[in-house]
Amino acid sequence: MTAAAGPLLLVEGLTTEFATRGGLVRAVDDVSLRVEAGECLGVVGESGSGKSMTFLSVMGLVRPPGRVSARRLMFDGTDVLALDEAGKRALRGRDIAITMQDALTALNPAFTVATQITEVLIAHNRAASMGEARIKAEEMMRLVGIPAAASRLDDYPHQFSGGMRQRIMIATALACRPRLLIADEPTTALDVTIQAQVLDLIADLRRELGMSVVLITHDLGVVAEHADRVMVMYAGQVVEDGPTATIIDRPAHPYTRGLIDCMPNLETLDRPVHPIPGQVPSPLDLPPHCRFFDRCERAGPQCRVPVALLPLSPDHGVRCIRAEGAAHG
Amino acid sequence: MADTAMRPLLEVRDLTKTFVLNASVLNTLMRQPPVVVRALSGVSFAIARGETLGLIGESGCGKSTLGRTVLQLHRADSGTITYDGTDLSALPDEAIRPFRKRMQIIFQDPYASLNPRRSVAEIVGLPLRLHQGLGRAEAAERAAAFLPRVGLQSGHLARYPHQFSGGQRQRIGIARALILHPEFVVCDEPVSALDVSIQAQIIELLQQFRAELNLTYLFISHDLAVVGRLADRIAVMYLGEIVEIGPRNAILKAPAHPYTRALLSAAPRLHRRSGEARLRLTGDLPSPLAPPPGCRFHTRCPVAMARCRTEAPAVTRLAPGHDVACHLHEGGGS
Repeated sequence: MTAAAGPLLLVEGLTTEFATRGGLVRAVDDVSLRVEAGECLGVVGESGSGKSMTFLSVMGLVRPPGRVSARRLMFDGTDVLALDEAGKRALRGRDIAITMQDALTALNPAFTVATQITEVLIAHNRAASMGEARIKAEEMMRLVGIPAAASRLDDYPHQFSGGMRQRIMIATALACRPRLLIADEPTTALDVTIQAQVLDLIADLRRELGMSVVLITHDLGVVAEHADRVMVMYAGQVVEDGPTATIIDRPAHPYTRGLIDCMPNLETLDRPVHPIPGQVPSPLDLPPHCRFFDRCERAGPQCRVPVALLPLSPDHGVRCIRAEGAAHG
Repeated sequence: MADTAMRPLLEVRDLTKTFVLNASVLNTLMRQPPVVVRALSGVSFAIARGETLGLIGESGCGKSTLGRTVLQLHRADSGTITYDGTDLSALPDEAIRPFRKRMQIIFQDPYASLNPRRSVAEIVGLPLRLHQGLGRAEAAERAAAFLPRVGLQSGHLARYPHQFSGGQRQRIGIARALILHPEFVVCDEPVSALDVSIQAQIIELLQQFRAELNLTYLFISHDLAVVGRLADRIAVMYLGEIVEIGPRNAILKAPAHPYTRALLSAAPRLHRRSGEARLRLTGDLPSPLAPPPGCRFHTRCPVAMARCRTEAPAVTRLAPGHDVACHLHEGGGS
């Protein structure tokens, strides 16, 4: 526990590539980000934007033929790139935990939930004995709001409802009291009333445990309600990042603007729908210039150049040469 | 619950549908009574020609079963489904066939609802061959002419579903449903499997066709904002029952049932008015195998009273066309 100044997680120049039969796919392209202690970073993007792959890469969970490289990857002052496999394994699950979108596939159907929660505790030496681990597991299940936790320890995943399974996965992730929780679409498979319960739970735990959270979602409404800062991804790149209020109220990138405008919104039901035309370019056939070019209403001939992510203000970055105030040459 | 002076295009009365779960040989031998799920219990509503009724509820509440039962893809246990003056539930299968070309469905999952071994020409052309007796070539020709109307190109005709993105597949599903120019279409969560930017494209397409073909929609979704975009009226379902039905703005601006209020409150917003507390529901959806006695919502209701636990609420009319089933609103409530 070194800590002190500096962000909890610092990523610079992260790139993840896959060699496929159709050619090299760059799923994550030069992504840099930071997460401060106690902060919630919202990561927004559509399918294939690279938002999940970014954090699987950070976690070291990308298997060959996937290739991950980064200029810097620091967790709480530790250089993760310099760690050996055992060092990375110690970090994963203990200090950084991830919850997957689909709890039914992420939990092992052949083991009871007690086995799955205690396994993490034993593996990371957070419990001296099985007895102690079971007591802690029960505590975690109570913390995430599972009724009659003690009597449900020895149940299997299929015996729980979707919302309860999501809570069990969160309980497993939180068992070692991680300092960073990566929640990948934690509520996409859930109904709205249950979604609200799970998100409120993550917010409560963040406050109580002082944990940092990365909230990966396609839902800007979820981000607006829970994140301190937002990072918007498109076709493997970060296209905009900044404080949540700035991104929602004054989006600078046409894609962010488009996402906000096309979102079905209970406040503006009779405003005509304003879809973003076209679709995301194929990762095998990315244009050399701005990747949003084909779908952008404001695109002009000057956009036919590679575009960098540049600051509009100290805490607001945008990848668009037409964004006003950006220091693009 | 119909207020239209004109005869509605579709009128559903007291519809009940159960599914038998474990009718295995062993259970029969052991003389165990089969487990029965009541997916729909006493559902009634009407839809006028050209109107869109939005149907909202959480998974397992019976909204898809309702859509499919209305189309006679499931046969109802009891109740009537009157379509343009004819009670479909009383007709034998052969007599329903002529109605099928007038009633179509768009499914949720554009990956599962298209046969991966059939080309677009076959998928979109099949309804024409079945209902209008066209030959393969002629059906393909008509399909080619229709594709541009859903935003695809006639050159896509020879391709297979896996060669398309989710949004394009949903366009194929829409073409298949609309090529016969039906009057009534059940849209069963047509956008929930799609990315937001694509959702908006599909919603716009459905709005456009509604105007062009004067379609009547039963639009099923779990997303209030999506339903609010398209619906003239909204019905809210909970555990196999309609708990509230009314004009769109009444449901979204002045919801009467605590469940409708909770759904609205739980929807994530870009701008939540400050100080607006979220109405938090506790607990899970009860199992439809053993729905709670009394009002089915009482186990999660923040304002449940003693009588809610024992007595099912009757339907109360709050305003013309706005009905709610909740003890709070019965005769002024208590």
